[in-house]
Amino acid sequence: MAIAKIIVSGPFGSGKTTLIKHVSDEQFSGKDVPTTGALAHLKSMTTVGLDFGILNVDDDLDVHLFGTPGQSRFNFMWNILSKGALGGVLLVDTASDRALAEAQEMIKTWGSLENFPLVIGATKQDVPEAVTLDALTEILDSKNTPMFSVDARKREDNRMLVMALLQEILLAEQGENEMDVLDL
Amino acid sequence: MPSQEQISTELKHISLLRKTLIEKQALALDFKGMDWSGKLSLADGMIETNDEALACLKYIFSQPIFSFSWQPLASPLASPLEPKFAFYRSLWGMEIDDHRQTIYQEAFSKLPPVHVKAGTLFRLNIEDMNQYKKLYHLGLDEKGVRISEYLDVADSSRALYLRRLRIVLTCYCLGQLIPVNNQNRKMSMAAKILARLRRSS
Repeated sequence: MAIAKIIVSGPFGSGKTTLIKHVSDEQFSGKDVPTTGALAHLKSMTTVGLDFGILNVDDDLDVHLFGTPGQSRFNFMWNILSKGALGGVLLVDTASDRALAEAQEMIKTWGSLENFPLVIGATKQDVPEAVTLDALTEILDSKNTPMFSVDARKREDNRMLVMALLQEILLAEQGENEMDVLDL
Repeated sequence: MPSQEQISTELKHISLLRKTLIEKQALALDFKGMDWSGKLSLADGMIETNDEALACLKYIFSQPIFSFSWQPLASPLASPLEPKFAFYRSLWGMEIDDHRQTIYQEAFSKLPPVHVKAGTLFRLNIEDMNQYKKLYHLGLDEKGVRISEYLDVADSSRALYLRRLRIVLTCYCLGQLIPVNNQNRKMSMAAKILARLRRSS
């Protein structure tokens, strides 16, 4: 049985737990505990430990989805979790200055990893204070990283992000030199 | 109904534009229409941006071009702009007449099914982003999506048709439409996972 890994990360409150829940066949949530300290007014409960889900592909392959804890004091776990992973999904709450600043640090860490494809899901785009996707691209310095606005509550949006990551990996494998096929 | 030859003639310059952008060639492209001519300078996958270039882009997508030529670019671009931004500024608000619409319909209906390569597109408003996501989502299907199906909206929805056409033209010229590879090959791990997610969608 082969095991593939996908990492789901993002600042505190960005929707990682929900995404894993929507993509997995089996979910083992990290322990949710009352949020303490400066973040307590933002979200009553938060995940400590890992969010973890398993997608059973076939008899030979399982996918393990690892959600990193959103609070920055757990950043040390990214390098450990990313070993052997196919790639990662970064969720960013675009209406939160705090989340944007944390995402900037996260993407720097991931950008330093070799052969680690990434897609970005921009959440809360319907909130008036949200930055545009263009602004988010600038903030994260990520003009070559696929980015989608997503509603973290929608199952279809969550699945599409993971599928987008996989399709990017496949298209990169295929190569793109089929210019003549698409001449008008 | 336009002939295949007419379609090919009227849209050949768009294939050239696409090729120049994707292969990052340094060329100056000259276009001539009925009562208009314009020039685009491109290098390293970027477009020289100024008002004339943006007007030129709008023209070459919306009007027949009777002749075009190209030559190596002698000097580097003074103010290079990523084409997705140039396309946004020129194509949004572009008008398309019935003849042009027919030409595009016919040409895109001949293309094979495609997957859509994700990218940060352009400064889309939410309606356009939703239409882009629609195309991307359809392209996630194992068999890809036919552009003609994506453009096939009700006659009364001209605004929707134009919105989708602009997205298609931009994705086409930026090389984000990738023909579906039908070859049988051993499925990679990513392909297996994607197939599983598709089945359960």
